[in-house]
Amino acid sequence: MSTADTVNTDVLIIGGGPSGLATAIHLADLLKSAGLERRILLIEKGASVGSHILSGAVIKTDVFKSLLPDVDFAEIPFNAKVTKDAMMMLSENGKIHVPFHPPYMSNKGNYTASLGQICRYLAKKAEEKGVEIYPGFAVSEILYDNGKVIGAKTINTGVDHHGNQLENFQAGNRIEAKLTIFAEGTRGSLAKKLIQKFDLAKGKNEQIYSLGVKELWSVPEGNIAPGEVYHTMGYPLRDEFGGGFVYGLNDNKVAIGLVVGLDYEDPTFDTHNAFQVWKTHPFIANILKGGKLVEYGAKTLPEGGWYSLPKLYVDNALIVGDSAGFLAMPALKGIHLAIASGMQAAKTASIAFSKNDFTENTLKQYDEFIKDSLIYKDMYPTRNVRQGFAKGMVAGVLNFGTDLVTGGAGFAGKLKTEADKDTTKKLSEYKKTLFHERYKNKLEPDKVLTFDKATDVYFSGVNHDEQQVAHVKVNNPQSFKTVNIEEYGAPCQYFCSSEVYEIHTDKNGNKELRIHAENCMHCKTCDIKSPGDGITWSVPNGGNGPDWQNM
Amino acid sequence: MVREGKPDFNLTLMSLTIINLIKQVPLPSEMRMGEDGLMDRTKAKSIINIDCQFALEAGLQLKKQYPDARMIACSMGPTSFEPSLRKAISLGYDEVYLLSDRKLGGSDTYATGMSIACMLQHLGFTKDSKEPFIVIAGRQTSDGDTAHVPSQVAEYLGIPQATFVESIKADGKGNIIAKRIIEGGYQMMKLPMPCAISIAPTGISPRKPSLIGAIKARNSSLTVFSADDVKVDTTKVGINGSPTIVANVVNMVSERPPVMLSAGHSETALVDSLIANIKGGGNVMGEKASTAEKVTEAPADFPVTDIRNGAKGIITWAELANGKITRPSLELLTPARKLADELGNDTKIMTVLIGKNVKSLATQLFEHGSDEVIVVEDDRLEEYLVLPRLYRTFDRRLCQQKTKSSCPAYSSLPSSDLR
Repeated sequence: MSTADTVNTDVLIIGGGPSGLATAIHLADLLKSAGLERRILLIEKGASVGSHILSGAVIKTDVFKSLLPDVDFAEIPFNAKVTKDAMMMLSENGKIHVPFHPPYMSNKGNYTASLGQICRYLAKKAEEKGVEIYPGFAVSEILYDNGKVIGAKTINTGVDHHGNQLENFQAGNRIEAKLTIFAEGTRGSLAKKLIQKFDLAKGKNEQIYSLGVKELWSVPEGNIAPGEVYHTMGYPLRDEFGGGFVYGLNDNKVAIGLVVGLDYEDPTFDTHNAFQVWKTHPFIANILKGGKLVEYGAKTLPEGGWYSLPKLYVDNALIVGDSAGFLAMPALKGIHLAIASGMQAAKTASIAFSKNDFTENTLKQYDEFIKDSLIYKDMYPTRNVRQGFAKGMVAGVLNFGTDLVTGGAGFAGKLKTEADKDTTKKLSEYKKTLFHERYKNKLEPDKVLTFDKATDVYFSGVNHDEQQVAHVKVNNPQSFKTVNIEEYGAPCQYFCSSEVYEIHTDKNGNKELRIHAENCMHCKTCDIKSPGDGITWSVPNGGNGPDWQNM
Repeated sequence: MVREGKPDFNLTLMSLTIINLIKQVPLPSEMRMGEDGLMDRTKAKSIINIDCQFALEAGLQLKKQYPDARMIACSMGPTSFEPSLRKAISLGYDEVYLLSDRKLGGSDTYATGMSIACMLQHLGFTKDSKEPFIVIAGRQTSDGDTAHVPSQVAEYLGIPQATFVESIKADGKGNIIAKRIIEGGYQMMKLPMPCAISIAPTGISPRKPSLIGAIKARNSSLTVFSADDVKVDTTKVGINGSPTIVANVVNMVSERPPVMLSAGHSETALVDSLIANIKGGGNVMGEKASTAEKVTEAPADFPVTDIRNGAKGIITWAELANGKITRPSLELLTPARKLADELGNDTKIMTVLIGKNVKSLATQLFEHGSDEVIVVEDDRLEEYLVLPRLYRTFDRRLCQQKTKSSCPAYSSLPSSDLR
């Protein structure tokens, strides 16, 4: 029984994305077959399931048949089956259709989808199986007892900008669980703390990320057919790793985006603006002609691959999905892996419940299950691929080639990664053309095809309560001035997908940072890429953030 | 729950029921875009009306003084209102009731107030109740905007009321001290319970629900009443029974995007850009043909009922602020005059002027178009108060019978009495 401010549950799942929902669904099924009745509570910080979910997406759908074996596949709200799948190499005015697919990048048999829709459907299935899902609640703190995870606590609400309690103050509730599953998605804020506390990344590669910026458009009939899938390389990127995507959806919609590796060196690189420039390329501009922007969003993706996975378990806790880094290079597919990891975690949890042992002794089986699953098959052979691209496209392609031949081992053994915040060069060190110089004629938004960040942010439905402490924090205000602003030119004002960070110059030329936390897309780029002592992203009030409908 | 120190009275003597009247409305600033880039009303989210959210919070603040208070939230509307009542539970309310009946559809505020009052009476809350209770409601809804219902519920129940209140506190002696917003300041009022309060969205912001509250909300049951359950006179409700007829509702549609007239980061830049824009004609909109058609005739099948009973004339009310007649009360005489002329038949305008030493102001009313001014003077009428006004209004109804006025007209302002 729960006491006044504590909720007791058997399993607490933090996050209502594909990994958390897959864990919930599969665990509910396994417990039922084992004849065990256990409480599964899933907490989601978005106002509703799906409101914080963003992906391209083109999904490898087989894993859904294992997750939902009794469901008619046609009932799952995938969008269009991929009919055409092409790689385009773009130059400023031209394009080359690459006549073959790089390995792992073929999408034959896959489906386009709105991951938000899929998650809403999965949530419905989970609730049918008795899982309790509570959207609109954010957990800000892991609870420990004797150094072991015992659950999490929801954020205190009703405080002012300085953290002082207001009249409508509500202390957060404690959720105590026998087993806590961390399914917060990319750069999970509590997962990050868990990894730090238990040194779970020891001996592992640094996790590295890309930032994906996406718009959903409604276009005139005929501009693109449902299931037409394009990936682009080249323009507007130069040294940066990444590329664009164009996915034709049903109902004359198209999902477009640009995904850029955050290991770039230019401190003024602006992914959102690069995305706007990319849209001006005739190939994309023609597809969008006569269309209207419907939604905007942005999110990072963990790309370090197999060697960047931390240790995935501690007593009473497991990490699933993007929070662990289950994403397969080079196609950047993580949804089927998120679901697979959720299912393996559920298998582990089910065993833990039958043995009533939630210590590492039992939970270590999660590792073995992962190794035996499709996750290993997808991620292990490409374990060195991403690292090769850190040295540029040519080196990356060569490295990729050798990986293919050697089953992933390459000739240099395990390649290391460098944290994204450390690869940024200082303004004085960066010798190449700065971002805004590269595209100087193309950066003025026309509000028909291209948009400024503020306009895009409007189309995300973002909303944050006024009465709360800003949820992004500069870790060291002194060094921020001397290092981030002076030496690096405050990259946060450029890399942020949503114009949260503004540098204001007063009459005397003094620069100061102004934070507009209410714009935040929860993409986590600032937590990843800010040089020096960095910025920490933590959860705002539950229900705050973007309100994506079909992203 | 945060307690503000020990209350200064003996709680065991008093149990209190806090009853909150709420309404669910479409999200006013709906950000949901349809595919064509326009607001998609079908996808409009529903929320608890903003004023009602402040009222719910006011009730929860009052609970700090009465920790064992019975917390009730209720509403009248379709069963789609259920999520809002459950949200009320997640905020801290214990029991929820919904009055829902097809027969009530289309009710005006008079019928609504009466129906809700019947529900409260059915739940055992009357002006003769031995245990104290307070009815708290939001000032007005974003989809109705009348601000009538809280007052009508109070009147039907026969209990004192205070409207446009920012905050309330119990005095420990069975009274509620209400801080009421008026023109240019506040009025502190003391009302004995049971009483009704309508809350303006200016006080303590609504709290966020707790997880425990949300779990409780999911597991709670909602009691739904029908019109017959609460013994509402169904001839007086619904579209047919309501005295008011809503003839037309017009959506304000913006025909052009906002125009930037002045921009800059310093005063000079702002002024320079403003001058440049005006010189460039930025403040002149092109002539546009009027697209609205004037509706002068009711449609052929519109049910016409003449309830005037031979009465004629228009009554307006002159509101006073700081000893002067307020501008809206004077402006009101213009449409009154127009209406009188349209009605023809030698329709006269009578204006009621209530207060202390106000007779001299009557001249101003004549100048602006009144034909007759009814002055009610008394030293005790210096301060604006609802109850004495009400009695004056009853006296006015006697006047009405004498003069057979058919049409009272009131200007609507935050501090004005709306009935």
